[in-house]
Amino acid sequence: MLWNPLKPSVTPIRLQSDREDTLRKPPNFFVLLWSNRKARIGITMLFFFFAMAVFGPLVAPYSLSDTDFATSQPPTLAHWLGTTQSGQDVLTQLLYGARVSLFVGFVAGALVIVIAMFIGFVAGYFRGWVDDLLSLLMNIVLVLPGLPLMILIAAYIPSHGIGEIILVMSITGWAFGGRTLRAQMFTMVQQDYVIAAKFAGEKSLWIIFREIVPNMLSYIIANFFGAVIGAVLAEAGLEFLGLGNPSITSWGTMIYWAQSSDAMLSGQWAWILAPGLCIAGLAASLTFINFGIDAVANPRLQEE
Amino acid sequence: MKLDEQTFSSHKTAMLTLKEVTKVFKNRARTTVALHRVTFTVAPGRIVALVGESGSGKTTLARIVTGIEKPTEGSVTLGEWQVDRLRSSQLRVYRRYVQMVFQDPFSSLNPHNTVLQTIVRPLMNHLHLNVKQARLQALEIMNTVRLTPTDQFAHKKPHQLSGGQRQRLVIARAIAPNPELIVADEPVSMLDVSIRADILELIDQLRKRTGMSVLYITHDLYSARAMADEVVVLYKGHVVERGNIEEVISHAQHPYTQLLLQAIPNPWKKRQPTAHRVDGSESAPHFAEIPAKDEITLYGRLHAGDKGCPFAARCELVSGECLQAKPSLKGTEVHQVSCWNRQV
Repeated sequence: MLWNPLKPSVTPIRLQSDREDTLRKPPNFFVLLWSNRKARIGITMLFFFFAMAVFGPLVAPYSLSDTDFATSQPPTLAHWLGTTQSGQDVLTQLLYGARVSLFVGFVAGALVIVIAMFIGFVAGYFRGWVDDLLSLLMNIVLVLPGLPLMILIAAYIPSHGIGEIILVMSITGWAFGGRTLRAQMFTMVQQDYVIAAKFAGEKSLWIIFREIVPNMLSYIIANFFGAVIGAVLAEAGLEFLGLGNPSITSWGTMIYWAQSSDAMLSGQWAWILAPGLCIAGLAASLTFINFGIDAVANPRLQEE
Repeated sequence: MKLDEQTFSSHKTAMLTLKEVTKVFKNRARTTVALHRVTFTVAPGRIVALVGESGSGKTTLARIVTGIEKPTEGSVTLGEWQVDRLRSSQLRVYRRYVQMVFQDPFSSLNPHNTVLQTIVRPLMNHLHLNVKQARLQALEIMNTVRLTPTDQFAHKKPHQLSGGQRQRLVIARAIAPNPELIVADEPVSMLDVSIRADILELIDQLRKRTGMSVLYITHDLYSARAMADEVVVLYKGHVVERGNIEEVISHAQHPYTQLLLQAIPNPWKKRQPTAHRVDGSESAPHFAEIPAKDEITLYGRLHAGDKGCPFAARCELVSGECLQAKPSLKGTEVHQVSCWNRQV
């Protein structure tokens, strides 16, 4: 295993004074997260994809609009991942496509978590008929099969840009997060310090966002990454099915074009494999980070 | 160490009155009577100890007095506040007059808030001070509860404080809006024995200085004696004995109160293999060992709770009428007991 400066190679014996030290100053959440091996792998991978999105166009070998190459080439030295049926360089497309996939993933993920937080918190905090109503809504959205619903909505939307895809995924994706955040809020509201805040005369919104949210931040972050994973995968799925805008270059549309021009039959495995691996890798990196957050935030899951 | 006279007027007049308070919890499986016709008062500036074992209804009573829960029947008033009829919008204002000290000083403080923030918020919300005034006032309060030196403690977070310091902070937060009544739910049971007396003494001092009244909930009759004026002994939601603390402790009549008194550990007592019984003989028998009298069966005693005396199942003095009807509180204002076989 690689040497890691943040983690001593020999676990030191925990002395009383050590414990008091950790009590006095809890270690930074991100330092803790980094000390988890899975999270470290995930963060490194995610960093790689971000670098791809930011610097991709700078290091891309050709221009995205360049269509003068021989069409449907398998991987060669000039075109590492081959060319498309319309004569574009696949590697160039892959590097540019990272931007769209990451942008859609994170923006849709953020929207989903905002909706989930609002509905989940209101339901979990106020309980009673408010909770009954919102829980019913969440359950309905949960049992509706996600992808067919997305396809249906996407089919009825007049234009198919990035914004529309984000919208469709936000409408369909919030219920799961809403349900888990509601459950979390449900238990948090019974904590003594929340009752104490009521005695201090705080209003509901203040209690939710200033007293409770800071205490479940790791939980919200984990939910956010979960939502991003869902959005990245759903976006690829929608575009693969041709419900996105095929003229945008993203990993999803790349697979769509590869499929529609029979890339597998012509031996262009790299054209399908590369964007597919990128999507899987991005989802995996976020999942690893989530495992790490779980392990850090929930001591019962701690390994070693 | 003087208190701001304006905010800490010692002219408090609100009397807490509970009349026939009954609380019933119902679910599909069963109905639980948590409180049965509980009646007592807490006069301004007095400390009343509410004593009972786990499940006796102490905490339910605290939740009703503070407006967290509503009684099923009966009325609760504090001064002019009709507590059992408060709507949730009025509840926020009501809490300017009733504050609570929690049992667990670790879970009742938000780990993200500093000491100063914790005390400043009730001042701003209830007394409508601006931030500057509230901070000055908060430092004053920190002095009062002896969280000193204040400049060192002001920006600490709860995890940097010891258990005793945390409970001082909880008390500081509770007295900040200058309440009429503080409900202290086992405020020292989670603390080291060595600092319990300090905290109780602090509560007693604050009571004398601010004139607030205190409902002190505990399972420990001994700590009740340390500061309370009056005591109410609760068993399974029934008041079994109440009165002046010295009077009740020195002349305990109800078998349950006597049981509680025997439970107080006494390091100077001569070593004895078994505890004393009520009648002075060697050991307290298990209730099943008490010889059955003609009309009293074990089944009858176990199920006496609904119509008979709630303590019948554990009582050594149990007689026929204990299973037939509930005894009522009898005696003088100084000392009342609810038992068929004992009088004051």
